[in-house]
Amino acid sequence: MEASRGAVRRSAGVTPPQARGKQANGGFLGWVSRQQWILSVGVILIVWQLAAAHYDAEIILPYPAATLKALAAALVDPETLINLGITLGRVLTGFAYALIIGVPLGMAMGASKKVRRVVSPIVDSVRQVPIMAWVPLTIVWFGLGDGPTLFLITMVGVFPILLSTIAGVDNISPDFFHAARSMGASKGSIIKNVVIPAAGPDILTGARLAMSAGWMSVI
Amino acid sequence: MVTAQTMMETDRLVALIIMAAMIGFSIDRLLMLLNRKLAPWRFAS
Repeated sequence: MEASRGAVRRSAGVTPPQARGKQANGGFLGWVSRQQWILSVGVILIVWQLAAAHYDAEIILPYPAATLKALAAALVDPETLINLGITLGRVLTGFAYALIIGVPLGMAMGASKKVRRVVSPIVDSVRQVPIMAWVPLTIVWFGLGDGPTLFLITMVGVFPILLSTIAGVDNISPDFFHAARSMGASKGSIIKNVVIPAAGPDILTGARLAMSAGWMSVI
Repeated sequence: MVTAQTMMETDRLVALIIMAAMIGFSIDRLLMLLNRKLAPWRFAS
């Protein structure tokens, strides 16, 4: 039955809603099938070629052929790859800082109303500051090296993680806590065996948002 | 990428944009894979 449903799904190219549970986030390519992916890429390339032929100016819009050649060259260029590696390292470090700040704070805020009432105004107001406004300040604070970039990545990443963690902890049904406590679980065991597995997926969703925001902000 | 922009090498610039987008996409998919591995009960049908 799974096989026939899979066959229907693949031929239609779209995941029907009732089959969505298993493919909740899609495979590597997302919701669409491989044929649809190739079709969309093909359409983009065709439109691109027509547009480039229309303008015919290398500065305004390069031809896809030239771009793909440059892409192939860039993929094996050692200088590009080294810079990419450095950038990736910075994003990962900033992401780690955002996790270290965001997850404990989020769990505390989700668990205790008092903490949330105290911290929430500060967090919500700092969150509204546009990212680029931090740049001059961080240059003054940290100098011209890695500091401002790391601060930027952390700042951009900490808020999705924080909000998702709070939402994740909020969504834990109180029945789990009652069950755990009725079996005599200690505070630490509750955190390890109830809070983290239940809020984990939401935290990871926040981590996904933070990671892509961090990558985009630094490039 | 900034060098490509200043030297007006637009094809290299677009190529680098595509490469950055591909890497961002892979990072996102990797995290999603991690999510599915660590919490399989959420995604079972």
